[in-house]
Amino acid sequence: MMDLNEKNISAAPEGGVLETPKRTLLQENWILFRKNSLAMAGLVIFVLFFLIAVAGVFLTSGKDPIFDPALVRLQEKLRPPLSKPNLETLKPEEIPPFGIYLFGTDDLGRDVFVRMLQGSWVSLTVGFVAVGIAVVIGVFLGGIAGYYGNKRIRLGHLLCPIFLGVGFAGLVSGKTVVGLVLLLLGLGAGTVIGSRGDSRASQRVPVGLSVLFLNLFSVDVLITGLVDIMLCFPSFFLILTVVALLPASIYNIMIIIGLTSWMGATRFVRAEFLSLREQDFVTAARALGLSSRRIIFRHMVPNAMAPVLVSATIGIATAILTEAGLSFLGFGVPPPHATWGNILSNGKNFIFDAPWLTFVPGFAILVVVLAFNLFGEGLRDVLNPKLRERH
Amino acid sequence: MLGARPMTSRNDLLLRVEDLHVFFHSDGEISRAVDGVSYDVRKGETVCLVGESGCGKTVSALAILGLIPQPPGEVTGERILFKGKNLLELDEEALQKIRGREISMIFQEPMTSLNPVFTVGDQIEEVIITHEGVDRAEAEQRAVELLIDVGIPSPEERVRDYPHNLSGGQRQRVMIAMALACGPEVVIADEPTTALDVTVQAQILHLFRELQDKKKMAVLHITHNLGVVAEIADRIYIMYAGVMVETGNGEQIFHDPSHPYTMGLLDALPNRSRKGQPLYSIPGAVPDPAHKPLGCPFHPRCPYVEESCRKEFPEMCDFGDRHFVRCPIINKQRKGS
Amino acid sequence: MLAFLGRSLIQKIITLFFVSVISFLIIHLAPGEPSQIDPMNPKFTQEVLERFRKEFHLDKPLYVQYLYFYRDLLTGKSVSWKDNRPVLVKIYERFLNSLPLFILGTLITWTLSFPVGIPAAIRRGGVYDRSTTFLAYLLISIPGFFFAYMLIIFVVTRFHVPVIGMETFGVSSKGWHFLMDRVWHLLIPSILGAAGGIAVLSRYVRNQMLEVENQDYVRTARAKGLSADQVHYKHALRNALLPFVTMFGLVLPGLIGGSVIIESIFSWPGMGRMAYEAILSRDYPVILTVNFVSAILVLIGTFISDLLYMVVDPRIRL
Repeated sequence: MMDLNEKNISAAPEGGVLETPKRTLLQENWILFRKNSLAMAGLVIFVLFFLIAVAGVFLTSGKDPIFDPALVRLQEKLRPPLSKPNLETLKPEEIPPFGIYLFGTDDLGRDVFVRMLQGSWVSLTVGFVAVGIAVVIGVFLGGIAGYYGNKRIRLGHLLCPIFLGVGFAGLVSGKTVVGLVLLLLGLGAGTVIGSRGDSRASQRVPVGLSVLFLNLFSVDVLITGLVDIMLCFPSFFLILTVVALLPASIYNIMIIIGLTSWMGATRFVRAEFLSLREQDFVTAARALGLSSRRIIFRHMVPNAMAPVLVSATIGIATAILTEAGLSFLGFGVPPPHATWGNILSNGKNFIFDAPWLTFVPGFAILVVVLAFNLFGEGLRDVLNPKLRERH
Repeated sequence: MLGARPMTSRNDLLLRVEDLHVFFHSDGEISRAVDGVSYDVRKGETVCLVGESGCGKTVSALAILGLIPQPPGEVTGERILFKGKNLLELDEEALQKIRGREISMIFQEPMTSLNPVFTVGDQIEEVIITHEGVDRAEAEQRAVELLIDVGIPSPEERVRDYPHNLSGGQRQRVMIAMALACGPEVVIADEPTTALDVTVQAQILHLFRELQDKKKMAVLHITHNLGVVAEIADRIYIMYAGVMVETGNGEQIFHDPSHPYTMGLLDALPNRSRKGQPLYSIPGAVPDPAHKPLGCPFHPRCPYVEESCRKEFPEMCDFGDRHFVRCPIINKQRKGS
Repeated sequence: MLAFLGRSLIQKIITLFFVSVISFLIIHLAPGEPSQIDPMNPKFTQEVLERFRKEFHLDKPLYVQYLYFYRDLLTGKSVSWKDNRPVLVKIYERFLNSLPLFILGTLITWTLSFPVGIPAAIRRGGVYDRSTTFLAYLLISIPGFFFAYMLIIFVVTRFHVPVIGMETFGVSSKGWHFLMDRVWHLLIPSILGAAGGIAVLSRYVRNQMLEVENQDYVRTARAKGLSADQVHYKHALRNALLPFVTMFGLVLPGLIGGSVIIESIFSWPGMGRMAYEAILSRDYPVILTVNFVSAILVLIGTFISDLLYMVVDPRIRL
């Protein structure tokens, strides 16, 4: 029999039992995550990208930026990367950083490196803001659908905002009398409903008003119906439609992408909440007298966040790709502001003469999106115990 | 009650596990789930492998059938002897011929151990067809007979049911039917009643006894429930932290427990004669398989601990009449030194 | 079971109604009118503009326009504002163009994803798994048009595969030669479309397979002495495939949605491009009809999904 003690030399001190160090869930997950080298690479690249974007916005924005991305030097157009500028023709402030055109110049002689710097901030914010909006909407709607799913919406609940809304619109468009009447009706309905919450009380209400208590459908049906409707619109098509119809601006693009991608998060959160709601810790919390709001936000949401986090990181990647796609089709951020998408789109016209105009931004997008995707998948592997190796 | 059976000769030896080690590698650590364990199973015997969760009993059983994935697992040992062959040396194909046919296994969780998309009839017939090559019709016939054997009413209809149409107890009976389909000589039952109600438990145990008598099988019953052990065991092996600490028959273990751990386990059982007194529990906790103490694995919790326990791994001591105890301290005490 | 399907159908019709209202509102509430495009054209005077507005009911309140529009849609009379041709005819033509692209792309995607994803799960962590994983991530992350251009440059300069349009100018319109030419033109765009699809789907296949392989019943199957093939391809796969059967129903909407970019790059006269051009020129009837058709496809797709799910999973027999 082999000497078992050999393998345990580093183990317990004599006479004692080595206590396994206590770790928090966050630390455990971090340790697991660290072992996935691809995901770590994704994280590192993301941090680098973030730093570059922040540096970029510092260096290139404002009236008199340190590096000017809009600086046109027609005499230097279409120079390849790492080429030296023709110093005789340039004024001192036109000399590119580091003394060379790091990534070459485009058809207007603008320094691609500086434009990439400017564009990095756009890509970063488009990703984060769009996904931020989507996640907030998704968690909110999904949480309500999951937790309050069975609460029925009554006729009064609907009529009140409808009247208020139409009345307000009426006031605004000048039909004062009608508008005022509707507003008052809406307020009235609101107070009636608000003051008598439960169905027992409705029996003491005059017959005419009791129609306001008619149960229509449940909250869950309303929200999933909303999701289904949104899903009927092909997403890129919808974004394209709205972006084409609204004035072009970076904020519009971010908001629209956010407003059209919350459906996934909603479904995830709803599904998680539906299963969490039945779990014992929720019943225990209720038995202890905690308010619904506290239960939802402090106890259930953290448990439901895992799939949302994963889809959020992948959503950032998708948002960046979508912005690039929109720029490609001509609907991106308007010139002269540079985004990686519009540098790439511009470059397709010179693809044989100046391939770096497509390569550089294309490659950059590829790397950043890849990083986010790897990071997201790494998160998914860590947060989903079902995918772990089984002992 | 204490399954007393006539002493049988060595020729009845079916399965012998000798010095089995199973390690798991992860995070740069080595988890020593099974650390040098040996046990025998004889024809028709009921052997109980007893211990707390995490002591390695299930892992050792899985290792017999070659069901431990070998990374991250690592299975080594002197040998696992089954009808003259060393199972540790067999390749996957040879092992497949033994699994389900000569050695079967029944698992703990009847709710998840059956495939939800196939009927229970399909799953039972599958074993028969795979190992005995008979045709569909005959397999179905035998499946119905098996369902009768395990006490499922209206078997002709149940055969076409899906697992989710059956209760937990019924699913476990189906698992038993599947295990017995090809008439194996050894059935490994891994906590087969833990997930079931107490009344169903009693029924299943009774069923086991009946079938054993009828089909002359040996059963390796893995459990942590001493009550069950007392009912059915011919031979008892007590495991702690991947190591065998005491073996004996029912009489010896329950009336003369000699390893401090066994003594602790029995003391922890609620006893009417100690009414009103606080329940005893063994102080301390089971060690992490990756960080086991030097020397005897039980020494940090042992009331009889001496200096040598902390340094040397104790040998198995013979208390006579096939009662073995891995504690030289107690051994010294008993033999009077 | 019929009750469930019936309810589901009604739900879908209601959803369709709301979709029609919302898409209508989006178009009309956006700033700018279609006739704004026309003033660019010097041929249009003020009276012509007025007549234009009257004819297309643009002077009536919104809900009347809504009724007019959908009446025309459902009777097939609605007409494109760009070239005066019936919308349904236009859609049908482009549909026929998009269809082969869609079918080929979907076929390639769904037939290749499983052989790619399943072995990766069975031999998790091995060389095959790691390399397919890396390739899949690469394909998912690359901007579509970037990849397209790389592919085009490579393929055009080396192999002379055509990358413009559906057919070569001047080739006869019948016979074997015609068929070969069409297929040749279909090749690169479909492969492009399929590449991304395979990357995504094969990952999903792998993950599903992994999840199933860890289940108790797979361990039981092994303990029964079944061969490795039986364990993986009979017991595990059958369970792992369940969600994909339902996913397949949802492939349908891709007919319209997916391909604006691919069609632009390859100058393929398909539905995606038509929709894009309609948006640019504010051709309301076309936009709304395409939207409506797309919504119908989505709803049919989910309906088929639900149906397939009931057929395939014995736990869901209502």
